[in-house]
Amino acid sequence: MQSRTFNVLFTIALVLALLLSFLMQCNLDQLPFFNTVEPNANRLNASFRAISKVKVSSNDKILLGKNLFMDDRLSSDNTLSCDSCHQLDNAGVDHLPTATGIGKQPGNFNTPTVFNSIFNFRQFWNGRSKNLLDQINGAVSHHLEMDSNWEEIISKLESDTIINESFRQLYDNGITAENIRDAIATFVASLITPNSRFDQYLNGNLKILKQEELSGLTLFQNYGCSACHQGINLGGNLYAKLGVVIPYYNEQNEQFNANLSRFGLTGDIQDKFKFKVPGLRNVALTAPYFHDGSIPRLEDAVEQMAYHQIGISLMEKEVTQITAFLKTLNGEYKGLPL
Amino acid sequence: MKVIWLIILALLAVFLFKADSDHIEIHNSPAMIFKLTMIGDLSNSLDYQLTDQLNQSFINYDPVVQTQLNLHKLLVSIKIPESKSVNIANFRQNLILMNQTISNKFEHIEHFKSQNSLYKNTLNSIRNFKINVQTEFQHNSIYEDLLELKTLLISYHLFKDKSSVIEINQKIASLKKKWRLHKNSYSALKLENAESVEIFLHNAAASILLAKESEDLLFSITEINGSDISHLLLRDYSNFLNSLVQNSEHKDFISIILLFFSIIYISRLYVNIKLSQQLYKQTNIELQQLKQALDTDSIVSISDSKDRIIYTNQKFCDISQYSEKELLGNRHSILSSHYHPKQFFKEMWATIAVGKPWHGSIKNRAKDGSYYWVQSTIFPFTDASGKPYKYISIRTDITELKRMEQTIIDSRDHLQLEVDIQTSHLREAKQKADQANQAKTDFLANMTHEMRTPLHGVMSFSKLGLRKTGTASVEKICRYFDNIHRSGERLLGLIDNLLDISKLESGKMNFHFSDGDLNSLVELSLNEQDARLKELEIKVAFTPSEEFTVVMDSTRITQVITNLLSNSMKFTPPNATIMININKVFDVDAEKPMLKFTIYNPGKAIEEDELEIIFEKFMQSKTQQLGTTGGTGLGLAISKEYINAHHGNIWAENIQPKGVKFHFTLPLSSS
Repeated sequence: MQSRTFNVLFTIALVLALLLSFLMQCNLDQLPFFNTVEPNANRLNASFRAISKVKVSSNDKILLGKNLFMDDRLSSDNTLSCDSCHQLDNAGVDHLPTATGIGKQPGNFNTPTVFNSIFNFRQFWNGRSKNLLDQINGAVSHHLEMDSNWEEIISKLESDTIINESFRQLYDNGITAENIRDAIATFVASLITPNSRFDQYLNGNLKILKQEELSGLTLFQNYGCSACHQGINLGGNLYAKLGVVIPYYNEQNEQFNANLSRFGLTGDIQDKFKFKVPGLRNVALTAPYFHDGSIPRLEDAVEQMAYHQIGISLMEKEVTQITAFLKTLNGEYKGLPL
Repeated sequence: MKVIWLIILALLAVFLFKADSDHIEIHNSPAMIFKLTMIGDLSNSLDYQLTDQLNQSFINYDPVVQTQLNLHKLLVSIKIPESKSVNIANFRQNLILMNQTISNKFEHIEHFKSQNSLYKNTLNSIRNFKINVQTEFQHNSIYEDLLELKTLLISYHLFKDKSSVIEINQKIASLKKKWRLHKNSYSALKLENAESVEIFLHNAAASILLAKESEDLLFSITEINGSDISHLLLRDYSNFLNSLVQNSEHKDFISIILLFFSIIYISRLYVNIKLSQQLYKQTNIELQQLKQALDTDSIVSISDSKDRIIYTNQKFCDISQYSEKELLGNRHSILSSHYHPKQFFKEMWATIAVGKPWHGSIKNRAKDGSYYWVQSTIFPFTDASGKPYKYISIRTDITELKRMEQTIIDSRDHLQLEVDIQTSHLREAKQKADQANQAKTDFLANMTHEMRTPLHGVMSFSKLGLRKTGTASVEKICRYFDNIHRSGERLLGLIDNLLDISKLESGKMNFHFSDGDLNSLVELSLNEQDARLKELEIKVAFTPSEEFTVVMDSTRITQVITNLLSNSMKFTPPNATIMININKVFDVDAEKPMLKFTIYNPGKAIEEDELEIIFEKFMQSKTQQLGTTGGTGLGLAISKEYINAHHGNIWAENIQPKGVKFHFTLPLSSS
């Protein structure tokens, strides 16, 4: 009996060994899937794109991100949160010419809105961050902003059992700088404002825009505003020189502003006075305007832009029309107007 | 041998693991190759997209940005395989080069986007140049020139006819000159129109420059060819893969051999396990059967080292009347009968705690309180160090045996008691016989004396009579005869008594039963003794009772009454009264009515221990002996025999404060 069992097992072992050796060599897996860029069909959509509904990755993570966004402990003296400047109930801005940092220090730049910031190809006016994660690093550590560091923030947050528990549920390694950034970035990425009247127009509801607004849109395209303010965010996908036709700066503040521009980062003479083109969604709600917040009214901003960038002086009517068009870019957050 | 096998297995594991890490790399290679190919493709597609943006009138950089983003993601996602291979070193270098190239390209793209936007703006402004110039400059050559320039510019930007560039530039230069000359002569011009012309000219020049710049930028962007480097990367990677595959083929071969050997080993192991399983099963069955055998015959329980019961069989439950559930976890002391002293269990534990078996009988108490005996053998299970961790106790019910043993002990004790009683009886009888013997000796001595006394009387008075015949008076002679007569009578009485006794003893006494009245017998007896009573000055109080018929031998009963009467007279002092009573009583022992005769004398009391002895033959009360009157000592014994023959009873009792009562009973006639 023993020898027969042995023979059977021997045969099975041989077969198994052969099978295994084959399997080792021809194990294929599914090929990874890559997103491809969709071509735009609509003629208007050659310049612009409506915001489609974005998949929400994790509600818990967004909630944690929101809590952190509102958390003062991210600043060195527990006085500032992200929300202090990017006020969510104020269209993501503070309506001040330049941001107020730690110890009420005035910053160098006007606060850009956090809404739709996910659509920007770079973050910050000078595009010094490649993405939101990096942007959070910048905001937290800048001496004119929150002036803190991750070690300090983590030690503060670790004493909070509720935050600790939230992190442990969402991340394997609890509270780390990466995880804090990830949570906040996830939340900020969820701050998009679809369903503006312009979006509805792009989606085929041609009657939704009034005549004045349509005229504004036509002017916006014909004057070449849309050469820079294009794409899904009507801006935010290229750098452009401020004062391309007629200089924006006088001799006194020229060097200062040159340093604020990309030139300050790259040292490339071509980058002088170049800033990231800001997206125009919800622009009517995010006064004052320009990187230095020097223009309080939207109408003035339109006029200044046309003058310095294209070299034309718009008529009052044209300004009104373009402004009217810009107001159609006010979107909705979670189904409510911003 | 086993060690060798284990080494082979370990080697196999190491090889398999190594092969596995390579394998993972090979497994991931399609994705890697795809990524590397995609980098080249995306880099190329960026060129196409940017060319498209340059040629289109409306621009939208979102697709470009998206492609840039994807390209960046791809680059970041590439992980360099960990290997010291030259191919990987090359791969790493090329990847760094690729990163530099792409970021360089991106920088150019940013410039291109800015410049292209400006270019588009100049085109827009040229296209929009149709303001009131028409009306203002209708009849002016400048207007014509401006329109010509506009047409030239549009055709240039549409068809990119490079040859017209010089012409256009000359035109712009001459127009600028003309405009500067004529500008002031047209004072009526509105400011905005003037500005428009200036801006148009400015944009016209800028458009040429920007078009060139954009094209140059695009050219330099396309010059930065990502796909070339991606090909290099692909080549390095596939070289690396090839080396891996070759390697893994070697490894596979070794692995298969190792696998083969280990499978042989495992199959041998399997067979061994199977066999030992079988053995185990068989042993288990045998153990099971052994247990069954034990369970059927004996009361079995197993307890742990702390004497907590962990197993009991059915017999154990049956005899103790506890259920298995109640017993498990309890100690055996639950069954304690408190019969055995503590020392008993101490010794038992001292034996089994060192791993030795213990035998003994134990009395236990069942649940209902009844007791039972078991013959118990406790066997400790010891661990390697000889310390017991479990005790199995095997018991046999010996309650029945114990009971029988007890019965035997009981009956033996009983027999012993019987023998003791018998012995004591014998001893008593012997004593009695000795006593009787003594009594007879005493009696003979006494009797001799008693018989000599009357004989002396006869002898002396007859000698005196003979001597005095003729000399003494008749009266004196008569008195002598009287004395002789009395002595003779006394001697006769003595001899009669002796005869009676001997008759009684030999059973030759005949009784003549007839109905009669006790009263007459008493009177008869009183008459007989009348003279003597008067002589002793003793009074007798007798009131005849009502007439009861008794079956009796009148002569013998008269003898008994006379006996008792004369006996009483001996102890009664002068002037005292003897009282005689006859009445009917119910005899408890005989369970029938009897006639009782009682005679009371107020004399000395008889000692308590002599109250019965006095009725025995040849026994005399010490009091009697000391008495002046004397007697044969047979009267009461004879009376007792007579009364017994009548199925009656005779006894004596002391009366407080003074005197003795003698009673006898006779059965009443049944008729």
